[in-house]
Amino acid sequence: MPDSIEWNFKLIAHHELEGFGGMGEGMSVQLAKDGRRIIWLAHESAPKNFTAVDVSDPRKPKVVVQTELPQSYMRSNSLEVVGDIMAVAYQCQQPGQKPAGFELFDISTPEKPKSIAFVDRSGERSRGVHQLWFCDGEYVHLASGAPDFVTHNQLDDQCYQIFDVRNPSAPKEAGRWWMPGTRVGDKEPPPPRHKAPTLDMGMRAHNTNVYPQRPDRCYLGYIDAGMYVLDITDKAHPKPLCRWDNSPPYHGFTHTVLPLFDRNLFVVTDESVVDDADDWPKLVWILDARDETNPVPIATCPLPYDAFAHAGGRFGAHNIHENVPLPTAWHSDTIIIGTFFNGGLRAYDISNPYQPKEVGTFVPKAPALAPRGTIQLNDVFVDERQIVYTVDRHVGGLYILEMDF
Amino acid sequence: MKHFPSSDVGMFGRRQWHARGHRIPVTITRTCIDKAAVLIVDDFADDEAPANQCSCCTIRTKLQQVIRECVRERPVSQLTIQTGADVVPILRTFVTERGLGDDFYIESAPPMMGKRFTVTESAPLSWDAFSRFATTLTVLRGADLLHAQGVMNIEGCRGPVAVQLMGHLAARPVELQAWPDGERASRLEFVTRNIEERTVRDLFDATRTLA
Repeated sequence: MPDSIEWNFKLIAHHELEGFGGMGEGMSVQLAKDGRRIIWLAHESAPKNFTAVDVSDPRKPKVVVQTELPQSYMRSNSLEVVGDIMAVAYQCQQPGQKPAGFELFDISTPEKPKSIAFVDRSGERSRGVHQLWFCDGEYVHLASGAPDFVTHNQLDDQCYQIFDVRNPSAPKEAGRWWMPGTRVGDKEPPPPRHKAPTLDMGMRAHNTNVYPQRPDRCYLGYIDAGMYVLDITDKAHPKPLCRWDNSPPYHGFTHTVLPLFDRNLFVVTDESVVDDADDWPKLVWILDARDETNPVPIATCPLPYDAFAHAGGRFGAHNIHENVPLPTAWHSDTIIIGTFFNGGLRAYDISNPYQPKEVGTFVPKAPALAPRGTIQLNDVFVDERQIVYTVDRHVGGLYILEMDF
Repeated sequence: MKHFPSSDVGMFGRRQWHARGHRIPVTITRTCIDKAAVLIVDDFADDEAPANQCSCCTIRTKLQQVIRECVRERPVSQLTIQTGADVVPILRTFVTERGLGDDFYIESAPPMMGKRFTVTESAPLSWDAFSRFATTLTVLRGADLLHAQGVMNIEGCRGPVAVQLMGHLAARPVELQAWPDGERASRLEFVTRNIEERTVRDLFDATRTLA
């Protein structure tokens, strides 16, 4: 395999983030009051919490602030910014560890993030918050454990929760939903599990996307249970409208559900979580969503398995640009841009959703000290200037690119 | 797509920033240059064509094979073809072969010897009118139509439509995201042999009026 591949993406800057370049799946852009454009990035693991980078000139990124986590067993992983408020997820390695939950920060002075509130979600069976979605300034939608949420299987510990943060100094839970049968006390039987140990990843929430086009819907990835569309008209009582599950025969870990409202399509990703593509195939799926209660898979985005599967580390789908409903994000319903670990960053033209076509590729060479000997691109965000930001999971930090297709 | 429309998709598919879209740009050159991917195709023209095949068909197969092999061996972001031979068969290969045309786009080629002129028109015209003009011209005088390239102001299209004609053939039209210089007018540059500018202009006006 060559050192690097750049096809229709042009690398314009790379920043190793002061030697702490292992990044999670939280990327959000703030337009600061002084005119600076700051991208906030969650780290994949301790010791760092989050890093803010001034990308006003995307060719000259500058670190504005980098913060520490209080415990080595914590990870922030996910964050979102609305205006000058940032929500950051905190997950611990083991149930019962603290602090676990999420924190709201005032970032009006980017150099000095000030804590507004910490929401404790720790508990005997809780690891805290893995992922959160915060776009309207009013509600945080998250995948989290809770002190009063006890499941039959520890792997099912994070359910979908909604927090009302209209008073950001006093967030309060507005509702929650979990897969029936997973919680102790449910009348439904526990769901059948995927094959342990490598393929049983848990029936729990991952991405919790809610968009202003349908504020009454949550598009929910639920790991080994596939995806759900929830009716959240009554936030206190979310109701499932549909479940689409490709596994088995596939291997679960359904991660993201991106609705393309004007086109009646869903784009769904399954995360690769095992090295050497041992859980292949992990794909980006296109679903016909004309009937939201019966999504139908119609295509997947092509991936070059032979060239990358055994190149080192993970290979397969993970995050995609999610058309975050904010003015600082690019929105497209014809181009899907995703990260594929050692398969790099790939763009697909889905103007014909039955035949996704790859139209751009960026696979940087392995960063220095890469533990798997390859890049492991983890997340991607595209701002409204069509500047693409992508991060490495382990050491490579931030890569900034232009699209050329 | 009937069931899955998008505001980013026009009459000719997804609107592109460049006429090449995502396709790999191809440069055809007469001079020897040191680029990452250079293909020498001079030799191909020397091959004897079977009795029932013309030389450009022979080139087509070999050119395809060489390009496919080159792309298979390593990721290619641009391609340079160095040749001392007639470039028209090469150009035709990219226009006519669906496989190559989907993945490659001729960005530049050596200038062809012929009469150069540009037809311009500020009023929008229907795609049907342009299509009939292009069909008539290529069918009747394709042998003398060396090359025509430009952008058209097509009714119902937000951006300009990039078109390319060559001999008897037309490349796939592509709608662009924006007009290159803000001027919303059709402009089509012709390189012809023994076709007067007036003739092309008259045909253009006539089909536009009749369509």
